[in-house]
Amino acid sequence: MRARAVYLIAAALIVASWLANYGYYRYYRLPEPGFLRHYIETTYTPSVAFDLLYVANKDDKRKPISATAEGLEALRFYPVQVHQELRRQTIYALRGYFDENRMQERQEGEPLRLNALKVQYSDGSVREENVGEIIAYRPAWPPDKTKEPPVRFSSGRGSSDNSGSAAVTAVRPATLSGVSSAWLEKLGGAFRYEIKANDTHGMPQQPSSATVPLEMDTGQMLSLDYRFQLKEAADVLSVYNVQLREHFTEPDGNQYDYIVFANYTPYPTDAQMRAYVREMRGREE
Amino acid sequence: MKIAFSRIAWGLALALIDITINGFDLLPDVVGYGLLMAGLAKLVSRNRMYKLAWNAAAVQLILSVLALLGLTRSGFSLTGGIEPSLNALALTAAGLAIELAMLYGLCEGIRLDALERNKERLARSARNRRHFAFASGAGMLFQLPFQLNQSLQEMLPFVIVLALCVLFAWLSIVALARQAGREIAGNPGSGGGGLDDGEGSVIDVRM
Repeated sequence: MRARAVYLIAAALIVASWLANYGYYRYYRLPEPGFLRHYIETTYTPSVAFDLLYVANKDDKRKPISATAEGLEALRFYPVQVHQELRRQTIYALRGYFDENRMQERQEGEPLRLNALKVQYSDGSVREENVGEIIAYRPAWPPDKTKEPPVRFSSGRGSSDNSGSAAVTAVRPATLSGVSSAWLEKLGGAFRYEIKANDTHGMPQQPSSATVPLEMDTGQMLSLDYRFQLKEAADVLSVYNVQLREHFTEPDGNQYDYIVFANYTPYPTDAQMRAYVREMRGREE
Repeated sequence: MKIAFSRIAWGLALALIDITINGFDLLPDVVGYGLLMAGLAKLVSRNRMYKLAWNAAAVQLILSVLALLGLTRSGFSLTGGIEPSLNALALTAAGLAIELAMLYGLCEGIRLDALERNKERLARSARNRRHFAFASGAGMLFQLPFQLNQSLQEMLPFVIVLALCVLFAWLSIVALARQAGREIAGNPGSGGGGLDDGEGSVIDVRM
């Protein structure tokens, strides 16, 4: 009798272990694979365009292989790569570029705003997918190379803690009138940047944090430090390509924008991915 | 009957040992379970526990034939660095549960046989090994589903200890089958050591 009770208790514990673990396993599967939310600023000139990150459960066979966007005919993608393997999910990356051979001559146009791309999948299906918000700036092509910029690249740094900096040196006197990006308002306190100016000998000016407008002499260096501080689950798994435009005005009135690329690419932990799945599940219900 | 226990011991040992070269199993489990069934077939008339072990061995034989044909794949590597899938875990658990039933039937069959022959020491030994096999197998069955949610690396020390317990339980039952072959291979009350039907006598003498 006692032996039977021991066997029954053991069997009950084993069944409970399987049911609980299976329930937990099912709960933390993504209800639907899909693209992370992207906030992209890109420039429609031959260069790296942007990455699209797609998250799927590990046993999902279907993967995106390419995408097209109306108005960005030169957009092409490299073969899909694994961006990150997590416990239950895999994040894939489609790396996009603007193919120079497909660029057509054009005048400067209004920025193109896109929410959906037509995505081709490995199973042959094609679906229109909402990937977030993409802003593509469309300067004239081919570019006017007669205008020489008043600043040139000096140094740059990017770090895995989602911070970085870019420094420029003035080749002619110019005034920095401001810094802008389409995503600054959306990011709010989750993104910080700071302008620091050095004198013509490379020594930091006081105070260390400069304010605009900032007049620069030839040879003077200016650096822009930035840092993403995303905390919310949905934000942590968002993709940000921020183009910080430093607006320079020369004494003759010529204007020039120097772009600092500040990108945030998510590498979530398992806990962050679980929070994301919970949020996706909440949206479904 | 001694040959029957000898077949059971060899069958258990062969089913336990897996030597593979480039994925080809040199000692397929089919051979082991076939020998086990052949040995148990001689004992099923003695008590229903041997019948339980025979039935479980038959299921394992079918599963190992399917595995040999590449139709199923149970088990997973502890060191391969690949997380086992739900299917692999479920198949492994099913195989382990059937194995436990087989070992339970065999140990209990030997225990009943031993009691019938007043072999108290053998009966106690069979009961203890049955308990050990059940405890280690149940522990393994309990922890297997955790691998759906925990990384194998995190659980590796625990899994290795349990796997070693299952291995020792299995080896101890191989030894038990050999001991039973020596002590109860005879008619009840004869004191053991006799041979049934003369089958295997040449082998038994040489052994």
